[in-house]
Amino acid sequence: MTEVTPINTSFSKLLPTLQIAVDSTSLGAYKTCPRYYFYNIVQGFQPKQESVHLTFGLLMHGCVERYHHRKAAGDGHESALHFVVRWLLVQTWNKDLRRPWDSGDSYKNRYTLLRTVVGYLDKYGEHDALETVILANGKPAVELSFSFNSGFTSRITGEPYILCGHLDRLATLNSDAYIPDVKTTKSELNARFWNSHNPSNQFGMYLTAGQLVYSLPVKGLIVDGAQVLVGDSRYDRHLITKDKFQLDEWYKATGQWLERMEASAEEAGYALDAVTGLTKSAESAYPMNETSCSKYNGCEFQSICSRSPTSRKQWLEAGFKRRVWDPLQRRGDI
Amino acid sequence: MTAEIPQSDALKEASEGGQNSLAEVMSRDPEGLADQDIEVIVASLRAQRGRIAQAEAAGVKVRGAGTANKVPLTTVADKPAGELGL
Repeated sequence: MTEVTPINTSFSKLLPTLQIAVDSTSLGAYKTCPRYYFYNIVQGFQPKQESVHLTFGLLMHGCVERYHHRKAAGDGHESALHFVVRWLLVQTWNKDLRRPWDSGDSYKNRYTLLRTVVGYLDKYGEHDALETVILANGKPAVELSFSFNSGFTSRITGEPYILCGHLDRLATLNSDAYIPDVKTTKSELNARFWNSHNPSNQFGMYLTAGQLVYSLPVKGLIVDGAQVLVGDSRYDRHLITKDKFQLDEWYKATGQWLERMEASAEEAGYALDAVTGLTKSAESAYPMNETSCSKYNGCEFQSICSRSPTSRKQWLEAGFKRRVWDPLQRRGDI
Repeated sequence: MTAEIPQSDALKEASEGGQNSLAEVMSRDPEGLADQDIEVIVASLRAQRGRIAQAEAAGVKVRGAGTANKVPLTTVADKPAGELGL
């Protein structure tokens, strides 16, 4: 096979349609709908208009990350909190228009984000029993990038599959290791909300990684839910654990999903055009899962898939922008 | 439109649960904010939280009652703040 240098380093140099470094987002995208995976991960299309939910969640994570960095550096609660509030105010200020970020959402906006962050850190920051692990290099284990050989190998290229991603934080509680994570939602933090995270593709990956990335195998995930209402924010904490048999089951299923991804990549590879890259016929290697179109807030590509295959490429180019989703890009560089 | 409030008054007002100071500070360019302005924001948010907790303890249902709506969020897109008189 001839080597090519892909823009996205998580894809194979031997078969450019084959993703060999797979994170939970990529794997979850394929599980949800192979066509969604093709548009969003392989081709890198995303809506031009920002997702309020994504922006809100990223900023919340950014605040928590910075808070723990400051605490690990010796700041007290008030000092770290003030640092985070100032950072958040700057991040949500439009310098060009000289005005605050306008989300257009009555639940998730600049004010409710500030309120949720301050409330969350007041509740779980100052007296949290979870203690952030300090790594051998002296840095706190926050936004921790991981990657490991999955043990699965591509039957076409012979390359090993890498499982990778980023953990929010690694912490200890009574000498046991846990992975804390934060989820923001408009929904009530009831049994239905927690059940929606168990079983979970993302947490299956995290818990599998957690057996390998630290000297102590992690005992579970500690998930903090932050419910964002118009007039208030609510918080709750939940423990998610998996026994060895459950982790083995997740691992075996991941191998089966990787085989399916490879079959799609192989078929799409035949449709590669040496000059223009992927052709429209490549998308047929990634079948639609129509049962996913209306899940969550509705698929962002529904308006594309509902059109004739003959015009989809033009609609994608007109209505979406491109980005490279490369899970091998490391984080934690604050 | 929000008028500037003296810092000493702002912190007192915010600590008592008022939202005028919070709205005023949030409408300003954050690059120019002083430490006390950040204190105003934190104090105001804590006071609001305390007020809701007190009300709930007294049996008043306030969940989702639009206290957030009292803060003047920007509503007109694509215009610089100066043109809006902010």
